[in-house]
Amino acid sequence: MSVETSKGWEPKIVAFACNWCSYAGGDLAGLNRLQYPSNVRIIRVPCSGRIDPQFVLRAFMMGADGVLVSG
Amino acid sequence: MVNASGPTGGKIKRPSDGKIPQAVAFIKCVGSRDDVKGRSYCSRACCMYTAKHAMQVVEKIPDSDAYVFYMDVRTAGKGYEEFYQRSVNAGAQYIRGRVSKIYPHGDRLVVKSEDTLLGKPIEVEVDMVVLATAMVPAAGSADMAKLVGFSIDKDGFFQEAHPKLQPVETFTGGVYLAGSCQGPKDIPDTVAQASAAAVKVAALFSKDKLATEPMIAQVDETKCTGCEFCIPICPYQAISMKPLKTRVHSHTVERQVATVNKGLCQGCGACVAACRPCALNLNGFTNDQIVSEVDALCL
Ligand SMILES: Cc1cc2nc3c(=O)[nH]c(=O)nc-3n(C[C@H](O)[C@H](O)[C@H](O)COP(=O)(O)OP(=O)(O)OC[C@H]3O[C@@H](n4cnc5c(N)ncnc54)[C@H](O)[C@@H]3O)c2cc1C
Ligand code: SF4
Repeated sequence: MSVETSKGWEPKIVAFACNWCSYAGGDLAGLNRLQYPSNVRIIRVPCSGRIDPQFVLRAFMMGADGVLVSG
Repeated sequence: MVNASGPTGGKIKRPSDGKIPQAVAFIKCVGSRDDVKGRSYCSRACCMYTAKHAMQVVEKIPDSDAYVFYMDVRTAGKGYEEFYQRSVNAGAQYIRGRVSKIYPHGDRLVVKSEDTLLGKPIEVEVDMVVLATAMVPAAGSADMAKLVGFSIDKDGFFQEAHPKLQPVETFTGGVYLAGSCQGPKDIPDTVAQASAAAVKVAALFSKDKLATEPMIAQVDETKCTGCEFCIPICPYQAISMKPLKTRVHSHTVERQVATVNKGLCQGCGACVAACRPCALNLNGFTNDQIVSEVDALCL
């Protein structure tokens, strides 16, 4: 399922996932042994309201290609 | 009406002229289970009380007819199916179909419908029509929820914290739900939920200290400018202002700073993201911790 180009490049995606919905969904996916792409790196937050725009900017600054905010 | 101490002294009478009706039509799911009317939910209590009312009509008025127009008969509950069968055996006539029209004929009413089991149109002439209307939230309940600080669901009923695991709690600490304010229900369910809510409250009061989640917001009073921006942001109304006295150049200055009620804060961190001077932080999910996580994951 991972996005790959001919050169094998994969985008680095930082996902902020709400503890109560998306993160729980990720957990459930794990329990059901479903694979998700390893280039998505998840950060658990207590609520999508906790996400400071600075975290998003920081991720881009540190080289992330995409940021997913889910909640 | 069938209550001996009611307005008609226990007699079933037409409200319009006080006549005793010989034929009564009951129409179920009026406004419930109807996306077009904006209410997709089932009102839950009406199948059973309609069975009761239809049975009371045939039992209390000699030689009377009770017609019940229905979509389904929902009898989920202990002894409920048996109760419905009792109503049918007592003589209530169940007709599966949605009523399309009711019009007056002399001093009676004609109810037009389709009998979907027989697949043909049907018309019955009755003296009284009883509607099982949808159970809806009380007027002003949304304002009350806002005032107390908890949420309502898509239909306007009060929202429980979790449909299975926290059915009497709200998202606001110390506020519990019981009865049809949370969703349509009958008396046994209301009593069960109210008993559960009462026990939750008793458990709260049985201790002199309250255990809360450690992940709650904290104010750095030296940084707080007292802008009050966080107060309307908190969905749980956990933030208020308090005076703070500080010594500046040998005299005392009093200013207002934010303070978090540890019992009410649910640790969502919305205030932290909104705090411009970065005076608020969330224990366990501090700005530094999340930024470090971002840095580590981006390596
Ligand atoms: C026609 C009909 C027949 C029914 N028959 C049966 C039956 O036979 N058996 C059965 O099990 N169930 C029956 N039910 C369902 C039953 O009535 C409800 O389950 C039950 O009343 C719910 O109890 P409650 O305490 O949650 O709400 P309610 O009984 O509605 O009580 C809520 C109370 O809060 C008060 N209130 C509202 N807003 C405010 C406010 N802002 N401030 C202060 N007070 C306020 C109201 O005045 C009211 O007294 C029937 C329902 C209907 C509509
Ligand atoms: S309880 Fe019965 S009458 Fe009431 S809305 Fe549900 S199905 Fe219709």
